[in-house]
Amino acid sequence: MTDKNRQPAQPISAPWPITDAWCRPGPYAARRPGSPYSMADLVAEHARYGIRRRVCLHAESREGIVEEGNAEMSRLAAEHPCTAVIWTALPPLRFGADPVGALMVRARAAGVGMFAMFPTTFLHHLRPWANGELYAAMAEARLPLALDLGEANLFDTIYEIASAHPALPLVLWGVMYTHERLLIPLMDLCPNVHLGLAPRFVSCDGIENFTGRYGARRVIYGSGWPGQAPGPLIAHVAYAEVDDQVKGLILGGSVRELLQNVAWPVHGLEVQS
Amino acid sequence: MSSLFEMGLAGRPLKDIFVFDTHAHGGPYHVRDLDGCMEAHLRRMDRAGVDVTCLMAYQESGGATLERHNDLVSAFINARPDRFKGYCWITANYPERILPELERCFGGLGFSGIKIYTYSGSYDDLRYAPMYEFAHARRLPILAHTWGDDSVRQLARMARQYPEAAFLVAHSGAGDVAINIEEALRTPNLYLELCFSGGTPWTVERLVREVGADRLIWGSDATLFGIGQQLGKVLFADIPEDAKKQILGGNARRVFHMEEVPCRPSTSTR
Repeated sequence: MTDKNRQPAQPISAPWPITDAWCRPGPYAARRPGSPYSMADLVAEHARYGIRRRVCLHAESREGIVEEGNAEMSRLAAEHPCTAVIWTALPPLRFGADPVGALMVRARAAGVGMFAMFPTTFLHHLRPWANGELYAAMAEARLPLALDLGEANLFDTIYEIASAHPALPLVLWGVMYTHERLLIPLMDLCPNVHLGLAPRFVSCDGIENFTGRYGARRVIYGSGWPGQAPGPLIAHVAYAEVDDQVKGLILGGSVRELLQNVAWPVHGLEVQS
Repeated sequence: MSSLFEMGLAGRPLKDIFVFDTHAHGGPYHVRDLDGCMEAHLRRMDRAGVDVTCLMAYQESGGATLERHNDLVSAFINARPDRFKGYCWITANYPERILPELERCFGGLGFSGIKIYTYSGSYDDLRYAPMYEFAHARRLPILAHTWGDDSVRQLARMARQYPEAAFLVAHSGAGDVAINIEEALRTPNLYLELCFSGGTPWTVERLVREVGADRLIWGSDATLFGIGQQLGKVLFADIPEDAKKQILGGNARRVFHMEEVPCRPSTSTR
């Protein structure tokens, strides 16, 4: 744990049970010395805000050896019962890949709550023609797919996936505050697309306008930790001109519902925080 | 009384402290569709507890429509001088218009500061000299777009050359924050303004520790960003409450030469 991660003298409870739906513990390549990165750092940082539940992808799954990162995230989650797990999925059509069925069996056994794909980092297709079998299996299991627009600004591709697999929940991260005109047609046409706030969907009136148009269940708080602190986006929601029920859904209710809808029990949901 | 941390977590307006937003925009923006009218902005300010906002037009107003956009800001100021101040936007790309526009804006339109942006080239470009002299003579604040890069160094050089003006380094925390720290330590009239879309952990704490809370200034970048996210960076920082109050309003009061003002206008705008 870094020396900077410390709890306030009197822990403060948030008015809403907050789930941080997009955080990434584990050592990563571009870390600056002194910056937080470990699971212990994350838990301590969350404690400052009274956040007791999180949905995590391991840093190794984001930029390194996916299988090792996925296994490490599941191991860490076993030590932290309020932690749901995101695995990075690689495309099924490659040398040495598990059949999609076997991957889903492993995910079920591990209680995985979400898959993520990073087509630029891992150099693969995202379009349905290449990964259709995987998306179909995920849709059948109602297992959400997280995509990061920060690495691949692929609105057309996302539309193709979402419209070809309407039962597949998609959660978009890395949406910029200037992306509203790109998002609106996509979210209008694809009710399975969800807007994640991390790290920079901070647009003025964005919470009000998007929850007004799509409902609070389409908007999900995640921090983007360790690149971003958890607090500023919480304040972005807390100060929005929407009612408390909407804030509660964005800050945790929406993602908990998505995870509860997965075909198997998701690790990290079963313990009441 | 709740701590500022608790106020932020609950989204409560900051009614008991003076909050000055030194970086906000009025009017239309070419890549977004938002309500840029004065009433909407006042409503957003009231929700967060912002007492005073210093506005400017958006960056595309540096071209042919610059004067019209400054007029738009002037309309905000004149309608609610208790809540709005304004930056006169000038550009070195139209050097012949700098002094006439400054004279116009400060000659009766009610402006309080000057805004410059990097699209006009280096901040130490000689074309800016009349503006710096104007600001130095009147002890005006100058808000300059920067990104933790050489633009900060250019601005700091000018700040040392024109010590009576206050230089506000917009978006401190973005890019290489070490540059901002180094230049602030060398330049007493350089103030680090904190708004940017990210929220890197422990940046505010580091700036307070290495530069001092008296040199940090809060801005929201509304109506590009929501006010809350930018407030959160300060409210949740692991720094003393007094330091938060300095950053959120106390320092701006000094930079903008404001007399003591009550924390809250006597009548709500909602």
